[in-house]
Amino acid sequence: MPENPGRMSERRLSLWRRSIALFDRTRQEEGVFHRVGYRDFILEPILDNDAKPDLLGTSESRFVTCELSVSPNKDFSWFDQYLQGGLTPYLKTLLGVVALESGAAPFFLTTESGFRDFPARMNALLLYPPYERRCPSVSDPALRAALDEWNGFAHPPPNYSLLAVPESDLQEVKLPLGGMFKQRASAGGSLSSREATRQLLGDMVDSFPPASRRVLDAKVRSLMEQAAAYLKDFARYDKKRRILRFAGVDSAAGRRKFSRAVSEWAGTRFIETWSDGEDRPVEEDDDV
Amino acid sequence: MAGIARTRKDLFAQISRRLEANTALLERRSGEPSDRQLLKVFWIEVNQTRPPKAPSGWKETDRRFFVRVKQGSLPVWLDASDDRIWRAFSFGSKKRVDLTLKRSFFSRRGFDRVWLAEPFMEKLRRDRGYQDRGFRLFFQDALAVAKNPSERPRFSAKFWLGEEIPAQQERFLNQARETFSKSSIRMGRESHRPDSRVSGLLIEVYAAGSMTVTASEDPEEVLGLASEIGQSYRKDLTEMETRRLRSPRPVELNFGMPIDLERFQNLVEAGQGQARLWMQRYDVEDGLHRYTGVDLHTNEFLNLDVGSDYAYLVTQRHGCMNVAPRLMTISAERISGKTSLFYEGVPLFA
Repeated sequence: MPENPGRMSERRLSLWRRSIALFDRTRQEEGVFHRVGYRDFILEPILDNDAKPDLLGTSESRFVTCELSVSPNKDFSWFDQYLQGGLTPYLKTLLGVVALESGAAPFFLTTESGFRDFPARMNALLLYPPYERRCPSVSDPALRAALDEWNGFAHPPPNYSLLAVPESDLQEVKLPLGGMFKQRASAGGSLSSREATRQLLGDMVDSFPPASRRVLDAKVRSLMEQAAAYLKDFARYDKKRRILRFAGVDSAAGRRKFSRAVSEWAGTRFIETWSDGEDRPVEEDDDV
Repeated sequence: MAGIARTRKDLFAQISRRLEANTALLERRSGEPSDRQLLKVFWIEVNQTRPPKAPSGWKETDRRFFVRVKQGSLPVWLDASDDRIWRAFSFGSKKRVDLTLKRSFFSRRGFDRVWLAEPFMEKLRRDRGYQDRGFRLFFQDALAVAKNPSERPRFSAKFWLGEEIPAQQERFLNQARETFSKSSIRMGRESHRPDSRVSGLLIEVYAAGSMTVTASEDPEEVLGLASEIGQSYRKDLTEMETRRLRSPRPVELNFGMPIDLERFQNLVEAGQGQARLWMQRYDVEDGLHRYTGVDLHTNEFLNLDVGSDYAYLVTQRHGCMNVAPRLMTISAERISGKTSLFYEGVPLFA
């Protein structure tokens, strides 16, 4: 059974992934909302009263809103606003629906154990063991039944394009950044810290406030400058413009050399490997 | 270029004549068509932001129609009328045509094979109502740890199935079908002419994106098939790409046999191997190894989580999804077991 990560950054990363997984289905498991038809989700929607929940999940006839937090002292002033909000014409068009009714009062999704002084009608799920739930206001009977039976997660969720969060420490940012360097080096070109920050936050980028994104950007900048020393045969850091300029690495030998340099920088093990070629052998037409 | 088809119309007329001649040869039982008489069709997945130009060595002789002529080789024609899936036709040896296409396209950024995973090929056969005429198993363990290629496990076997199979052999064949992944499938149909002694159609479709036509009494059927396979593949790809625009839900791969995660890491972190991935592992969570990096086919950013018997793939928004059937097809051969692709729990390319 997975344990709640000790580090705040890991908890936040995991909270986002697990929250989305509630509305998704893989061959490994099916999210509790997905199971009863809440199969569409939108991150950071704007409701018709300008409320901005972190996640909107919809079925063919109902919707739910969710707020995600790892903070034990969360301010719940958003609750009434989410409760009163409905779908804008834009959201309806995006979802391809005419009208949806609320399936439940807003959900608070968290990694924090021990539910506290919540607004009386607020629903809440703890997404790590012991997988607590507090669901006093669920009007959709199918959803209510599914939540009653919910056992949590048996497998780690997919990445959902989220690789790091602003709270991630330098080592946690460093490794996915190494993958970004490989991407940029494969064709040559430059990578700005802003661009790298957006890639790290993936589809959730707009869920993080600008100040929070700037924190991550500063970490990325510092790491890019540091990496330039290790990647000196391949890249130059332009401090003024905060970009790392890469020469193209387009051969198998070049990729091996670049990978070794990334591993040295990241402090990970690099194993010399071999390949059976860049393309598969051709199967002969031996059936004539 | 004298005598070589310069337009689609000329090429299709030439294909018709050749296929009719092949069928006549088989009917007379005076011999079988040689490799140089069989039509080969290849599909090429194209991811170009600009309109395609004539690649070096290819001459544009009709609108978005190219021919490559090289001394000592039979010509290869390229129909680039579709902006996503191109089709190449030739009567040359499959190996040589593949090599030509590899040099011109498959080894270049923006081009890839069309990866016809086993469920896709089987669906084609079922939808067309064609008979099962055989299959090929092909296995080479790129994830094996032996450094010397000759010591790594590999095998191949091909089965040409006739109308009747002895029960004892059928058991073995069925087990092979269920156990291993197929790298090609032979299919066909009876002739519409009651007096005919040969198949009305006999083709072999390869997972690596090609088709060889051994016999056909209806050239339009073959040309229609060449177009239909490309369009059906394009539709599946586009559908996945449209879904990705809406959410970061992954495409999921399921492996019938466990893969060697350490060997996989060594290959993709160094940017080696046929999967054309160059990645960095950044986390391991409960046995799920998380990678980020690049698809060398398009130079696009890519996230991949790999467990021992499943994987989650998330491309960037507007990213090319050809990586999904590529990984599915290649991993099927590398583990010699069934692989399947899912989105939201529903099978894809099937």
